[in-house]
Amino acid sequence: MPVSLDDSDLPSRIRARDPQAIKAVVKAYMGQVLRAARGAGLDENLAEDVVQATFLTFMEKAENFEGKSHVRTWIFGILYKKILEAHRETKRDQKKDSIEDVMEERFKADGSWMRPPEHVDMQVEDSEVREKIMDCLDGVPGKQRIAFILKEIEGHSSKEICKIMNVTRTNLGALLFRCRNRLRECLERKGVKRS
Amino acid sequence: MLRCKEVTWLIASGDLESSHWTRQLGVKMHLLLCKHCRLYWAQMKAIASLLRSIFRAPYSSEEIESIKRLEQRILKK
Repeated sequence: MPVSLDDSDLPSRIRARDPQAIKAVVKAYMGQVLRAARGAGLDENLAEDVVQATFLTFMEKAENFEGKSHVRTWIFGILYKKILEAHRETKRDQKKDSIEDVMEERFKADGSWMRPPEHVDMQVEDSEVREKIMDCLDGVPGKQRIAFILKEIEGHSSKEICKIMNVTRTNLGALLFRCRNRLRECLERKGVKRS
Repeated sequence: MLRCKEVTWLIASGDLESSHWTRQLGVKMHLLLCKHCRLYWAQMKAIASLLRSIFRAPYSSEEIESIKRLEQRILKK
């Protein structure tokens, strides 16, 4: 029986380890999960290992899938835990991040700009810009990077990301704020100025 | 009237999208008047767009090979 990932009986078919359902899920999300693992900063070999571990865990625990969230959210939740195990970087995301001090210094006491943003070249077609943004992304701590990748690249909703990463909406806001400002500050520092 | 610091938080944290319509309107009004926040907002969008263009490019032949390899390994189990 053909499988649609939005079928209402998909959760029960996954729980029953229906081979067609399992195969459809693996094939549907393999590319996205691999890209997300690479986006989270894992090198090629480690990304493949993590992706394999993710789907093997999905298959092992299939009978536990309740279907309360979409199967994509569940798989990305497994991926997130595998990435953290691979990175072992959870301690780097402190409650207070130096980027917050950097941002504080940009504003006067009344909340207006003291040091406003400078114009920075962000042309998509420019290979120098692409190289610099990837360098900047490599400098972003693990959880912040993962939150950004899930939001902006994979297109998950904030609600889904909170489930995947087991964070509150407030925490997620802080992670995204820190990541986005790190990237912006980094590009400005690298001096990719628009003429 | 919203301050620049608050506007940058709303934009960068993603809180703006789930804010009450009055707040969203307040930010729009602020952006009409503040060129610095307008630039900040444009840069946030450009950064996301730039990274999406990198990460969402069509799969390379190496990526396609990786995907096929992983699918075979996993579906054999």
